[in-house]
Amino acid sequence: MSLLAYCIVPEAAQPSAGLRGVGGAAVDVLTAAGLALWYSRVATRPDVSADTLRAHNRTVTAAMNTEVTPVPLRFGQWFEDETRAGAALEGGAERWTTLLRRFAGRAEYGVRISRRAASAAADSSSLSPEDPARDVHHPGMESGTAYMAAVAERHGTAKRVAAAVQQAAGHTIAEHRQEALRAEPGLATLAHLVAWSDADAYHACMQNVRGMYEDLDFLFTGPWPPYSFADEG
Amino acid sequence: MAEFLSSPESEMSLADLVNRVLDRGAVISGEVVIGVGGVDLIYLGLRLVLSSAETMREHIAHDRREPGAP
Repeated sequence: MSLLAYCIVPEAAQPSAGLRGVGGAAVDVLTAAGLALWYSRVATRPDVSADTLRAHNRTVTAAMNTEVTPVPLRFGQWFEDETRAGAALEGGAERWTTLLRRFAGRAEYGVRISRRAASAAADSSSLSPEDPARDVHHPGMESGTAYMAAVAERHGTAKRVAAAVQQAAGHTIAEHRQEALRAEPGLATLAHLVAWSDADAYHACMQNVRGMYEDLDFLFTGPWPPYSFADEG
Repeated sequence: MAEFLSSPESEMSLADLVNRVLDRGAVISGEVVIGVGGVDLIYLGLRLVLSSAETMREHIAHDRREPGAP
């Protein structure tokens, strides 16, 4: 049996008795250096699927409360036995402790920004037949110039919207990350680390931002464990 | 805890779930091993398994068609 890891929390944070992880396996705890690793014993490595990813996320989310925010681990991390898992936990204790302090009382929220389909089509159809940008939304017909123009336009729009979000809600956001989306109609995803005490104000700011852009769609998600902020520190 | 507009469990958020759980999050063991279609893959980020994205989509679609199927 191998150990499938979910998250790291302070030693005192224990999973509820009935909590089940990937494949319905019980969630156990391994402690070292004042920290706890939540994991499940599984005989075989589960494949990636919507169900296994959801189960992983549900288990990590179960460790979240207003006082404790776990260090979420990327899906698919295995240990052959407790000795190796304990060594990994203890060896990175300083890093894990720093992240736990940074995350305490906070959660991640996500914003996916995309252009509305009608808007994207209108952008293209309003161009003259000779305009190379007309081909931007017709895969297979792009010229190199049109492609680069489209990339620059999308990058510029994403940058402007991200700046507007930051201006409107920056006072409620402890940390932020931005990632460009490469495929139309997506523009960018934003990840925000927000204190629970600022969550209502943050939500209100995001609704205001949505109202500022009639040609864009905003998908707000959360609260998440802080995946987007855990691969550093 | 305050819920937002779209729960991480919703279908609309599946892309965000995949992006976070596979491509982000802390790495404790130095490498991440996942299985796709019964084949173990070692990766450090989602971008490195993009060639297998179609397989993953098919796998997820298969799961939706046949809940509980192996």
